[in-house]
Amino acid sequence: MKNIITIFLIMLLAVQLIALEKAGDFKLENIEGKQVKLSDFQKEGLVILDFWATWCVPCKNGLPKLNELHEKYDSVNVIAINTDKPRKKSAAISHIKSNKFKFQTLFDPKKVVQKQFNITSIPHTIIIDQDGMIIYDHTGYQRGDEKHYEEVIIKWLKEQVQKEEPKLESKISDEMDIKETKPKLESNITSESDIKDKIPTELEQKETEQSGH
Amino acid sequence: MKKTFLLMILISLSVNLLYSELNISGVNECKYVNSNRIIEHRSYFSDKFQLQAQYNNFRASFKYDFYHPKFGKFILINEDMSDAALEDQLNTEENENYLDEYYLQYESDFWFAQIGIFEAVVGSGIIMHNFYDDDFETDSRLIGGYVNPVYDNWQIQLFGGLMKSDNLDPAFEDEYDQVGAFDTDVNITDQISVGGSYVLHKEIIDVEDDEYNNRTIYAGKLSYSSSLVDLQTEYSSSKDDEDLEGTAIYSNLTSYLGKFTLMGAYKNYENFNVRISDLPMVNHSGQQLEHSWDSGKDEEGFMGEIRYLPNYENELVVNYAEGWNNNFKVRLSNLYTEFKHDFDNWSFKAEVETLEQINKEDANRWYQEITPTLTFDFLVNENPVLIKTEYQYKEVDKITGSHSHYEPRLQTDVAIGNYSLSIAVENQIGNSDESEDGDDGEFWIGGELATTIFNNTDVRLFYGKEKGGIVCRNGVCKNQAEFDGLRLTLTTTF
Repeated sequence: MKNIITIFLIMLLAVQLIALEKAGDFKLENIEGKQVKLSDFQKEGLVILDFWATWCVPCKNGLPKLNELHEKYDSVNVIAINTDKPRKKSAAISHIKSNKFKFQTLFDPKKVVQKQFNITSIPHTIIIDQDGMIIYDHTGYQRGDEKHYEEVIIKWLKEQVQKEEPKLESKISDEMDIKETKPKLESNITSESDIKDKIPTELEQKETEQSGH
Repeated sequence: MKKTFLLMILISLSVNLLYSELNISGVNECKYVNSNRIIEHRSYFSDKFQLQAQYNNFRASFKYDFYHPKFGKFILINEDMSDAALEDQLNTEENENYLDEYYLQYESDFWFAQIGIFEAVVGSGIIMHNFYDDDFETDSRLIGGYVNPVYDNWQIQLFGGLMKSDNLDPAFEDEYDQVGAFDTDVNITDQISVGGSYVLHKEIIDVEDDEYNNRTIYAGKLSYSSSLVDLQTEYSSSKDDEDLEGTAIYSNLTSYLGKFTLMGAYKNYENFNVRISDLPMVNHSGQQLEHSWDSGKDEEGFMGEIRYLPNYENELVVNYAEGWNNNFKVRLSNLYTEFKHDFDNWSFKAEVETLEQINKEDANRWYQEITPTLTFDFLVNENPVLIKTEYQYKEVDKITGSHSHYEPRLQTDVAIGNYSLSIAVENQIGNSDESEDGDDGEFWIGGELATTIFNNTDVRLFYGKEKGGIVCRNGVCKNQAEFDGLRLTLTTTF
């Protein structure tokens, strides 16, 4: 019996360790007063959660940089979660709208999501992948931190390209099979290079843009 | 052996089933303080542990606090106190350990419900805002139940619970007020929403007779939002068993005109100096009308702001606020101006803030502070450096005399790799008899070293003296109380 309990506890601990980097879903009100869910954005790629407040200068310094990342990468969604007290909500809305930030701004007046993500200090930035795994977690903002965020994004995009390659090969192979069995459709089949050209080459575009700057 | 094997398989299966949906996380904050406040080298240790589990639509959490002993950030001690009085105050710092928070939540696409200890908000805070603030040691959280159906065009909040009494009489130590609320919001169009609220606050006033003062609040809300204009307005009215009537009006209008943003806000509070309200102060610095004036008792005021952003690199802000009481004997004025220019690799910000407060109603006190600030923020070999300089001037005129002094302050933050160092030096030029100020020539020198270890643990070591208020060091902001000594904080998330 003692052994069973020990094994159970070890397994429980293992589960905790395995599950420790997963982000749970949540729903909050956005700047237009609509309820939005984290999972809606995860479908599109990476999500950068940024916890900020109007009284926090480093938080406000980091927002334009996050907006740049949001606009630069199609598969990256920035969600800025405002942690101000409700009495400062209008100041937060004014800050976002006057700066014309394009990312989503959500409000967490009851601190439900701050507690969910164990936020004890702001600014706090978390990057979540499509599977809900937390791949980056950082407290504070100092000039240049956005470069670390971008490194994480580029690494993730590279991984996506690598994941896409076997799928692509299999797709090409399937199409080649079709070509052999159905010669009438030959004119409709694209070449390997054509298919490769059609794959989202966002990463390459961004790298070119970066080198251009 | 066979049974053990079967059990192991069963456990393994359950674990695998759970694994895809179960999410366990938490945070542990461990703090050691060695304080030099009046008496040197007093040691304090605290640990706050929070664990939460999420399974499908359910989330459960608890937070346990351990203090050995609890460091009284706002304990009223000073050098002029007798040894006996000092000891009495310090004896209030006791060893404590308790379950600080626990809750069970359910969240689906259209429903949110919870039981346990929770924070609650109705409107902008004038109607109701029950919360916990660790920085200021204020706690008005509720222990009870909360239901919140949220649909596309409407939502309702219905909750009730107990709130620990804030009466300092020892007889009230384990006593609770009762609070219940109903709040609804309806979106009439995509841009317009209206709402109504009802709150009942039963404040315990007699423990022996179990007697309560019942205060009821009715409130209405209107908001309009478009790409050009945002409007938020709230009206709240209250009445208690002693027939004390109160009203609170708060309105905020912001218009976005290309590169200009114009904002105007108005407040009018009467007999709304109650614990469950968290009133907008309607000035840039978030100051109450006057140092000793009870917020919400009797005050009116406005704030106007012009923000000009010609491009992403430049920002100009001018904000002005006035506040006054019914007979204009208590007044506030606050002016804030800011210019910020962002270059490719560095930025420059110049700020000037003036605050003037008068109380001729019950304190005969006049206070003024002027704070010019310059901040430079740049990179040296990819390493961020921040330099902030302030030259605050304070002047007080009251019955006991007049005083003025300067408080120059210089802060430098540097980060190299995984390590960040922040050093601040503040001096006082001129004398003051205000308790929060120092003596002529006195220096406050403090430094904080911050780093991250094991990928999930933030370490912050502070040594020295610092004044209270919002302190931003090494890219992180906190509301700190005045401090003298050593403070080591380890925050681990998992």
